[in-house]
Amino acid sequence: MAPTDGPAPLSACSPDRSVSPLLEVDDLRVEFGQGRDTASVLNGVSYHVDEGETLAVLGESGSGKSVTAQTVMGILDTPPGRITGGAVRFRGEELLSADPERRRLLRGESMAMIFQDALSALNPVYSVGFQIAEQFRFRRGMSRRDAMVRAAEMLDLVRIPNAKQRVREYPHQFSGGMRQRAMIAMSLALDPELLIADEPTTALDVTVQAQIMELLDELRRERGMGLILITHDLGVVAEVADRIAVMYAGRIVEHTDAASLYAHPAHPYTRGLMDSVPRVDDRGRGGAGIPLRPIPGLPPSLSAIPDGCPFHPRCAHAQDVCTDEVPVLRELGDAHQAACHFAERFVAQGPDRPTTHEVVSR
Amino acid sequence: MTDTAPALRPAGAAGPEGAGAGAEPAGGLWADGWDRLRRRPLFWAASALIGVLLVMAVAPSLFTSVDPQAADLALSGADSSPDAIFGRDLQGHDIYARAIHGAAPTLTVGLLASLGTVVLGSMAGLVAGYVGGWGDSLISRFAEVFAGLPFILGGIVILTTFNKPGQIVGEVRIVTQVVLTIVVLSWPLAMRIMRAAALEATQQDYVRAARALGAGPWRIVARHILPNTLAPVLVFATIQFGVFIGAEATLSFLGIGLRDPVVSWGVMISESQERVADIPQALFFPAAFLVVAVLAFVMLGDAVRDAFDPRGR
Amino acid sequence: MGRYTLRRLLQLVPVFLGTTFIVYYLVWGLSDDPFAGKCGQRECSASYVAQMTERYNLDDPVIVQYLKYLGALLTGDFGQTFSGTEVSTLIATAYPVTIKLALVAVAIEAVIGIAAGVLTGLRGRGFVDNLVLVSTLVLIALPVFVTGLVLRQVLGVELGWIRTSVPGDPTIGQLLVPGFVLGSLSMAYVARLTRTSLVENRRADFVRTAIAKGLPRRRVVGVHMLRNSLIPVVTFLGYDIGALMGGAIVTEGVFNIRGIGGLVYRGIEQQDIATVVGIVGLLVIVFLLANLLVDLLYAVLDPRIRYD
Repeated sequence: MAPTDGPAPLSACSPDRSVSPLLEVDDLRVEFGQGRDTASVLNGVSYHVDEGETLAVLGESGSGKSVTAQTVMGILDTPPGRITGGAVRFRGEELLSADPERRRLLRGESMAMIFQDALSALNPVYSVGFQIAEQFRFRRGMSRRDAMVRAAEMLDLVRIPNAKQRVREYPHQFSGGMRQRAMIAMSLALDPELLIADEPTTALDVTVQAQIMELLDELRRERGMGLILITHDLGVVAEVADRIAVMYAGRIVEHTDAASLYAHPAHPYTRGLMDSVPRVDDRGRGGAGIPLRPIPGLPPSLSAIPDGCPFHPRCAHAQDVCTDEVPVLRELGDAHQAACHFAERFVAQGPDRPTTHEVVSR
Repeated sequence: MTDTAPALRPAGAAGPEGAGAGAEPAGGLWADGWDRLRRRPLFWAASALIGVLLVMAVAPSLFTSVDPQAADLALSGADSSPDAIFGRDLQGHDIYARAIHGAAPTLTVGLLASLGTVVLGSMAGLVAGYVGGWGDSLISRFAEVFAGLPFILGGIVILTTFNKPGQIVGEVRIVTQVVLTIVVLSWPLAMRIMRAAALEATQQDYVRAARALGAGPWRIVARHILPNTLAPVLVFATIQFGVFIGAEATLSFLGIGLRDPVVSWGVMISESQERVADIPQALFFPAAFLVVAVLAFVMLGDAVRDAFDPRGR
Repeated sequence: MGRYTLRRLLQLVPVFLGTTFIVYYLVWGLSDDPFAGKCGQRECSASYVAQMTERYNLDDPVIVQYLKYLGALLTGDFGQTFSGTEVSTLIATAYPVTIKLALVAVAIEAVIGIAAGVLTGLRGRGFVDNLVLVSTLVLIALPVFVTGLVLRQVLGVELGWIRTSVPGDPTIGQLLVPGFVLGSLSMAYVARLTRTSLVENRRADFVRTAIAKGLPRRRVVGVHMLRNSLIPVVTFLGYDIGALMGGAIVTEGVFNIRGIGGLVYRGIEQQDIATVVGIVGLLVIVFLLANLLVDLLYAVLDPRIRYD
């Protein structure tokens, strides 16, 4: 596990702090659509990120990871989206009720975002340099020429070779990995304090994925940025995340530091995610020869989320209480939170692997 | 993957990541398309108009009992009256009766021309797109020869070659000539649509697979390519129906298309233009019929395209 | 790009030959008696017939006649009309008027069409959107000659705002109404195309990126949304210039504009082979070259497009 550069994990997770965190999402609720087809996409999401810290948000597609990020950035399409409750605070400043112009000025400058598919996220008819330079020109008032020089420097910073030449090339002339680097360079142009990376490596080759993650981690450390890493890939998260929030059906179902999550997954969904990832290392619960165990079923339709625990139709351990009562996200101790009626039991079980952490008993 | 799936909603999560495509009803392409189509007021309005026009063409006697050729020069340019509600033209014809009787030739030309264009163009496009190579080049160049000729210019050249201006020709002959002229000048459009669709289809993996499995060209064309190209060609044909009605009127207006004794709206407009200042109704009513008819087909084509090819809007 | 251009230019040759030959054959080769009606009521005199037969190589088979005509055309000799006027002179006086009319028409359709498309594309569904949609439908349904006749009647005869007959060397102002009539159909297409394209791009990922970068709204719309959306519109307008430069027979007829359309129409009526084939050849070349230019322009506007 990478050493944590930010504040100690325990203080980062305690709810009452005297200093407000870099970003705080509080009970955020978002709906899509109208009437009978209304989809409750976010049902009270809360998380926070501190300076220099990496929070990984984990979940299947449709779990609301990206929508949360878009709401934080203020780029959610409304309509069809509709924010029905909650708050987003950046350094204590409430954003959802803020003036649009104020929010625009925060974008790029204070918080920036990297998108999954850099090919469609970059404008095909402008050169990569032009698109990076835009921010220097329109946010820093630089001349076109100076901005291009700075854009080349940014490409150099993300280790694109021949940055001076490549700055004039178009997105389609870049390889996938280089394009994602350019996207990162663009997001860092105004030196943001918070970077949201929405599945930054999903569209890339495995070898390139590792390079990009390394680059992101390094840049975060150098600049003391907060980083929200949105992914559905547990493997990506393990290396870099300080804390992990697992999302399911628009809720956070488990939240803890990375080490505890791997040692004592407290939610059956988290355990399912871990079981469905192939492992080459012998620390995995199965080891070679043991078949993968995917989570059965599909995520629920967000316009018809099941009563009780939204995960119960797919849960092998579901009891009557699971269909009746919605489990709240509760503290299990040691800054570990989970939304499962039987969280303690799962924590106690732990995965079948050696753990350095003390087992929390019921 | 989901072998042990408990009772879950089979529909995929209509989540924001996949938002927009969320509320697709289950069913085939045609069923979905029809479902979308019948919910559009535009479609019903256009269909109703076309229905009325068709009845007008098949049974004009339902609308009027007046002979469209009955002329009374004494009543030349008369305003509307109970026995000629749209008034009378220069020759003293009843404009209403002529406008009703004008539907049949106009629609005939539109129907035959769009059928001919689609059949000829589709076959050429299918061959070009499926065969490819030099066959494609040959057909494409050949199509460009006709596409490069501006429509009206080409129409004038062809029609004046076969009929001197003012020459009196039979009804069937002139309708055939006008239809053929339109087809000859318009088939490249249909050919391009079909060629693009066929090219795209032949690149599909399932078509390659069918080929690899030894399916013959006829089978591949009939089973795999034609069904996929039907929607765009259908939309094209519907819109072109309207466009060709306008084209027929334009040729008649220039005095080289349909002409007396055939009564079409274009012919009526053409006859009216000399004295449009004195007898505006002779221009207005046939023009109104013409515009409504073209509008109906364009609207229908629009609605069909929206329903079957939502991206093409 | 160079090789592509060359290949396209080579492809123009058979198309040009095919089109001109068809026209040549239709106007001349199919005619029983090319001199019918050429000399008023009387039969043409033997010397006149001999002279014309000589001038147009009428004793040769049609294909040889055509090739001889083509040979002269390639040396820049458009030939003479029956009355002895140089066809090139006729074209030189008429074509500028047609070009002017085409440019006025394209300018009008571009300004109004794009404005309407942008207005509806950015606003989304609502009253204005429906209004524009219905207007474009009506414009598409209105044949040009109907629009022309009605506007000439209303604006020219009843209101007296314009002259019903445009003078020989018209000003831009005098061509405004004919240009509107000529461009009205394409105007509807431009409006729809702009709207569709904008609606598509409004939700594009790169637009969201531009917003996420904190760019001012005006910059997001103007530079990222509009620039991308207008590529197909500009292409359409380019093709339309090529088409309008050859297809204004009806509009020129309605407003009595002395352009190339009227010239070729009279030429066909009088079976004046040199005029007709010369003009058709010229128009086809202009049309095909315009298309080629637009295709090349497309590659400039959209860097993803690569020919070769």
